[in-house]
Amino acid sequence: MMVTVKLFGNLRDLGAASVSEMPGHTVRDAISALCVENETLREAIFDGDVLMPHVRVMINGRDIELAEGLDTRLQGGEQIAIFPPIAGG
Amino acid sequence: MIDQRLYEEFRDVGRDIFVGGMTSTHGGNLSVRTGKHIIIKRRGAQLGRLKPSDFVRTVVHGEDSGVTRASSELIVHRAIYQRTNALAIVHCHPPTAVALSLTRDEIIPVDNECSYLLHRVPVVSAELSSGSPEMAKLISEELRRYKLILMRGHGVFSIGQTLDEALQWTSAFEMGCNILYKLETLNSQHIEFRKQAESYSSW
Amino acid sequence: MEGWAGRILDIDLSSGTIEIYPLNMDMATMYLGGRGLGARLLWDLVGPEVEPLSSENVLIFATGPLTASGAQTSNRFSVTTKSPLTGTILDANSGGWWGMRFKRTGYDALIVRGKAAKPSLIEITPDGVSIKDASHLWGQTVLETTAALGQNNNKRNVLCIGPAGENLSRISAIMNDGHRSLARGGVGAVMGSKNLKAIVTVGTDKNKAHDPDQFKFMLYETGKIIKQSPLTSKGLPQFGTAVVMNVVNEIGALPTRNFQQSQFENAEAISGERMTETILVKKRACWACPISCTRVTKTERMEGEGPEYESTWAFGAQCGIDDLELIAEANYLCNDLGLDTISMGSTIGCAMELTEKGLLDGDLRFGRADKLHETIYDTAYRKGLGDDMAEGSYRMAEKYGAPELSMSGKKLEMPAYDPRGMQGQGLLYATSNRGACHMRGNMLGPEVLALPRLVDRLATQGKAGIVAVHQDTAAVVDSLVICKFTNMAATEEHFARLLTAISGRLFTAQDLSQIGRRIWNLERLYNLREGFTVADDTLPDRLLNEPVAEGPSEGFTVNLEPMLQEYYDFRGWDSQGVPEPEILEELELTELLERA
Repeated sequence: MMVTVKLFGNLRDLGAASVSEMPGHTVRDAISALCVENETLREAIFDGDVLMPHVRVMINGRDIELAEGLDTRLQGGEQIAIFPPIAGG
Repeated sequence: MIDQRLYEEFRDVGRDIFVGGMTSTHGGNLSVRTGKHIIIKRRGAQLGRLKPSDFVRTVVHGEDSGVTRASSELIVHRAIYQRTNALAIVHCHPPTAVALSLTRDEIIPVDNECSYLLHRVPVVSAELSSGSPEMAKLISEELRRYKLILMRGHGVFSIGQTLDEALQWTSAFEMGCNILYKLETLNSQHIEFRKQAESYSSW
Repeated sequence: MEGWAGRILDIDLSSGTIEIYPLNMDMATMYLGGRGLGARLLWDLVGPEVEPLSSENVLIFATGPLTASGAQTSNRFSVTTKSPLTGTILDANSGGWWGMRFKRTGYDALIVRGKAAKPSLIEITPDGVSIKDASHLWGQTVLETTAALGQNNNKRNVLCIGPAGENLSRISAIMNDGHRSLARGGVGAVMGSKNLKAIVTVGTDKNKAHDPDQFKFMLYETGKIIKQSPLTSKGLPQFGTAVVMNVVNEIGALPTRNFQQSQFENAEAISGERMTETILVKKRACWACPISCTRVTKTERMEGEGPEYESTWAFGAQCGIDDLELIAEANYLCNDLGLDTISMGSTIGCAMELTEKGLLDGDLRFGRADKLHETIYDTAYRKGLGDDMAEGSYRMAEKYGAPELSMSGKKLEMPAYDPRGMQGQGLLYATSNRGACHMRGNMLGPEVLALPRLVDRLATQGKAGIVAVHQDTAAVVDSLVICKFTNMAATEEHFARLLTAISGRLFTAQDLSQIGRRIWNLERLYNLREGFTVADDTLPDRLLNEPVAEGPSEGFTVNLEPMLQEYYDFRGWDSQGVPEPEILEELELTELLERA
């Protein structure tokens, strides 16, 4: 299935956003597919099995923490956005 | 009576506390503040198996019929909401913390996580320790200074903006107590890695 | 001094009298300083009969017990007055160096009353305090004035107004150290109405701690938590505040074209990331700040500081503009002319919608980046439509027959978060004491960034308590006076201990939050005395009744009514939003009402 994964902030220095044909069905699968052969990106996003603290992931603008986190299932066609730690005013 | 989202929060936090070994089946209690009211676990409900019918809604100030079914420590929760800006309270009896409380007047964590989050936890003592006005006053006053305190021989009271936050302090604390306990059992020289560690007791 | 200098400087520009008297220490421990002290003093000094632009209004510049102590970000200060834009109590807050320097002159606050006969400036140095002629400076821009008066960040600091304040624009700002702003609510106009061009400070008194070892430990702990939080140690320094543009857009809460949409198709072009790749020269920090969120930037034609997230939004998505260079230049111009960027950009967007709906003549339409420069100049100098814009978006929209198109609360232009996508922010805007404002307890933290925890931004139940707690904390931070970004890492726990160490008086974390609550309630009482009611705790019709058309917040309006009732309950106010007697007793505010 196809989903779009967008990277923001300094994550952009580490990898490219892509429309990925991903194996598996969850958010975790989609992000892992992006990090294949990109250990630096993987280490910026994941802390072992979970997200690094303060990294936020959204599906179509909704934070995954309000769904099933990394295990949230995807239907196909979603836009996933990954934000590193940031702030605003 | 209780919003589904809120119920799930209570249920998940209650379960984490029980499964984490921080309470007996029927001990401990949880509450949140909404507007002029408190939502608190009812007396006799099991923290690890909370059902939507296990909650009582009662007033923060004054009295109403909620007191007949609410946890026996309602008076303490009320005092805490009256004396602090807490929006959630976690109370449970983590065994290592309780054991340590019987041997000292303050706990200064030595591990990274607990030290970073809590710095220092005072141990407070009350003769009549369950649900008395004396206990309510003592605990609510101490929580003006610290977000988590330990009652000698009894357990932890912790406050936060959400149940999840209060749980985080509680869980990190029991971890920190576990580590202290192991350190003392090892009985070897403690190698301090933190700068200015001697100042933590003045927190 | 240990926290408080213990002295207030009181200057009457009408008579030329300069008085110095002791700071009431009961007042100091109950209100701290900055915003809190300003509110308490304004309660006594400016009643409902006072017109904001008359000589009976006052300006209260105030620092707090932590100012100039060396605690992280202890450079900030505030000015309190009755606002000519909103008619409410209004404090504006700024960083840089002036606040620290003013504290070092040996005063906690400066009260400016009356009106000078001709353009004047105030000079405060170790040699004394004097009022001097400033006729030669009247008409000069902020940067010209600042240089002419000998600005040196480390020695001599200038605070001044530009042409916008001189021309009594209700959206004009007071600038300090060249590029920092006391922006909101038309404070520049109050200063202009007093014929006061500038205040220059030179001073070297130290704010030393009562308990130096304890203070040193707390500095270490606070510094540690700032360094360990990725937001304050990486996000803000690297991308500045505008990095949040993409995330707010992603969730569908970026107000676009005067809040007609909640996503901007070109958000990327005006994001913090894009800024870093293009116009950023380097980052900069205010005095004693380890975070460095300030951007030093340049375009092909101009250079300066900023733009911040709010300013980028105001001239960007709000106006349908995606030209980052022109947006930056609009920001530099506002700084130099002394205008509030949020109100300026929002008012331009409002004018654009009025034009598109045929209520306004001309070609000031969405996307017209080429019109930004001239529109800003016209506003500062009150030329043509600029004369209407200088009154703020509400009065302008009202004049042209559509006040509902002003996206404001209590006439203060609303900042860069569409509350239909962030329900708690909607409650915050509606109940904020100085008008719709995000700095009074920004729900960006809980509703978007998961700081301290994530709450569902589209839910309404349970929001009231979190909003109220955040409002109280913001009031404390504004009274200590510390930067809100420090508060993204450190909490009242740290501040209470810093304050105890510097002053030698015991403050607990809950003492501070209670002080915050007292300040919030006092501001509320002030506005009630001015005649504001529950009817003013509201939002523009669009946000209550026009659902978002598309995007992640599609279908939502702000469900304000239930949140508001829960909020009044939580605050201990009656259904008309009036604090009940028990609350006033607890906060020791009853005696204020008895004397009123």
